Amino acid sequence: MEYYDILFVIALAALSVFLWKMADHCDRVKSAKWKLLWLTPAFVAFFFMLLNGYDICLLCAYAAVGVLLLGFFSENKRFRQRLSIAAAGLAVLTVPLCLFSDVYRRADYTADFEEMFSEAKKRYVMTKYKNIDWDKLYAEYLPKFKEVTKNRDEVGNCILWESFCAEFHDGHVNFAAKESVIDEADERSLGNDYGLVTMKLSDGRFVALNVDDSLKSYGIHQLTEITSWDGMTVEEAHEKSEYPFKHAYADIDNEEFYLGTCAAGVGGDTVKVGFIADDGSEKTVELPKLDSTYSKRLKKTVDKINRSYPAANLTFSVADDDTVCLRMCAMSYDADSDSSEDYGLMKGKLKRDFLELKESGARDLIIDIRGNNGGSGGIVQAIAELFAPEGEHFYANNPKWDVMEKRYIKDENDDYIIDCATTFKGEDILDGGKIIILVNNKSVSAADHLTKVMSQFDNVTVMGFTEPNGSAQGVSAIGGNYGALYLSSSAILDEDGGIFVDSGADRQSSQSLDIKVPFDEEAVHSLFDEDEDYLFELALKELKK
Amino acid sequence: MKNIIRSQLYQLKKNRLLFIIFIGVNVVSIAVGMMMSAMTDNEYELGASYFIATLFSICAVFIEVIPAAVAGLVCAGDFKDKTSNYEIMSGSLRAEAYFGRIVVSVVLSVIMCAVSMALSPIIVTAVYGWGTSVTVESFVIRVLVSTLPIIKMTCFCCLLSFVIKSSAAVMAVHMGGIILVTTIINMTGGMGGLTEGFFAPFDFMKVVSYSSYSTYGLNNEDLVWMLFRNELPSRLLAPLAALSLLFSAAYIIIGYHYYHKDDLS
Repeated sequence: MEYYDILFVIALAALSVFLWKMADHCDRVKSAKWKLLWLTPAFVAFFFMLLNGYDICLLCAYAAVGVLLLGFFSENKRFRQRLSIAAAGLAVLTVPLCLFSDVYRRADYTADFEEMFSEAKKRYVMTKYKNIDWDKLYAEYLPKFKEVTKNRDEVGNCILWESFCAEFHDGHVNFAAKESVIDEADERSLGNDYGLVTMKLSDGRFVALNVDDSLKSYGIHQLTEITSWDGMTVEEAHEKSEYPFKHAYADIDNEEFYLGTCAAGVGGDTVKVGFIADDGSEKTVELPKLDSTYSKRLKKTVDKINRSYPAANLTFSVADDDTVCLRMCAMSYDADSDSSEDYGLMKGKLKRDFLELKESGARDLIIDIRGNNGGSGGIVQAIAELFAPEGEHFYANNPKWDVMEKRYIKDENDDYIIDCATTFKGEDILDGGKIIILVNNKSVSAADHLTKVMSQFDNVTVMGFTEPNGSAQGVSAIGGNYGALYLSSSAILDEDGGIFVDSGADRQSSQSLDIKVPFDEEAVHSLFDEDEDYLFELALKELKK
Repeated sequence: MKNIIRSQLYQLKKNRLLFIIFIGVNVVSIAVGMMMSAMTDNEYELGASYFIATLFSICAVFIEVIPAAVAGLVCAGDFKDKTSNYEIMSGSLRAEAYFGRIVVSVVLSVIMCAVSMALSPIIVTAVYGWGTSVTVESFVIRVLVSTLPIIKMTCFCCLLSFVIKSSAAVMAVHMGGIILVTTIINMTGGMGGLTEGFFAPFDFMKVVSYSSYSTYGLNNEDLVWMLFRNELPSRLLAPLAALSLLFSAAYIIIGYHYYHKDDLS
């Protein structure tokens, strides 16, 4: 039973006793003003409803309030005392009613889903482009939401929303709930920890990474090839995982990179794992479950792969004699600039800083946007202006909007129509140097924009294990009672009028890597054994060529 | 009862305080509406509809003073100079005295609030036009629906008036109560689960507020459009209507029962 409801019941019982005693006093004093005391239970009920809302299971408590209220209308002492006894009894009856009822404080996840779904259907800007079948999604997910409502499963509700969002293959479509709920959802869906993470190398083999020391006795260590998991291939085990994000990737190439990572959470108290031992023989061992949080091991592994240059946001660092690094953690500078969208001061400071470094010998630039979760397009434009060749360059097109009808204007094929272009003028402060942009799957939104805009220049190379996320439309949020749904609701167009960056039904974004760094044994050694920033070191070598 | 109603209306015509409050509320609303349109360059933000969709809820806070002022002056104002006592002594029934005042309070409160809600948009429309943000129909519906929480607020203030017997105290308790509840809500981080129909000032705010989201173009402040939902949320109306009428009836019954046995001192 909830804390406030317990307090409410106690308060009602105490008031019943108090009013029982006051009935005698009021009988002797006979003043109209004392009658007002019998209105206090109503105020108490209102106060607790303000804090915690109402619930059908508290009906007895509300009836107790109504019973005590009757004392206001009568001045008979015995009648009032009987009312107090009845009210106290009703208040006490509330407790078993709440404790043994299935519907006590039951969250209505279904109502939330229906409301947010209908709003999402109106707002989402890539329904046709991504071939979204809203009716099919509704028919599929509504019964599932009814199930989690019936089971009072808050974590299940979160997992279900994440599965729903994954259907869009859009990095901008996601569900935000309480952090503790999201953590629990990850733990539940990713399964048990058996002491290793399985991941696919560039040569197609599935290997063990981030291996627990206890597995040495079984003959499994870093880079041991895993051939089977729980009686299945690693791909099959990966598919069996309940983790909703395994297919959420906007770009199918990024999904391919992470294929196999969910396999090592699948299983019961033990799991049979097939692997190639050091002597070349194929072995199968039964691994015990270490604990139920594969999510922690996987997160640690992925964080290592996605590490970025350790510097503050939008600051230059000297990488070597002729290379500097501009680290961009997010497309955000300060509160004033972000609210006014005026990045003149930021641009001026960056320009001064870079020119100073240039005087000290800096020639080339690494822009590290790994893990950059986006923000303002104004920053993208400011950065692009600094380093783009002189002259006017294209950024993106804005679609036509009907101010009266309040929707985008589309042509006869239901496609967006170009209204106006956003362009920018390059200043080329680099003046002959080379630029490498480091990206990963978590470079999303405005980071996608920067990659797309800068990659049009000859001196820019985009490099990473994976492409950037591939999600670049404008976002809005739909609030619900148990979380918020974020989705792409503002369209941005490419030069030809198609959707800017985002992948369509083919799951291929319009971004690609100039250098796709193979995730091989050398990369693993560097990242996990030497604790190096492998991509950054490769970028430095590339600039020397 | 007709005589009591007539006498109350006559008294109110002579009452400067009510007039000042009514004028003050409307001046604030009109000023906010006009300034909003005057200070914008954006064609989309020009006109009464944008004002209603965005800032009208601020004006609604001032409009909430009207039920307290009307109920306080009509129901509590006559205790000070013993008019209530003389009415009873001259042969009027307590029921006539009570319900006569209730009728005047509720009707006048609803009319004054409706006029206050309509006046500022009408004046802004006359100068800047209606605009495109929300439809006229949606606003008219909201004005009509808002009569329910206004009636509930007025009945509650009438109850307070007959108990406290001071118009100033009624207004202070009413507005102080709103501030206190709002503070508790902010401290507990949200509505705390209080649903439609329980707290009239919040219901009133919900009715006059428009939910919205924005759609925007790239790096161009002229390409930002706020989209407002014209329809009232469907789950608001039924509980709002039922609970507003139920609580209004309860306040009237409790108020009458108190007044019936009160010594009017």
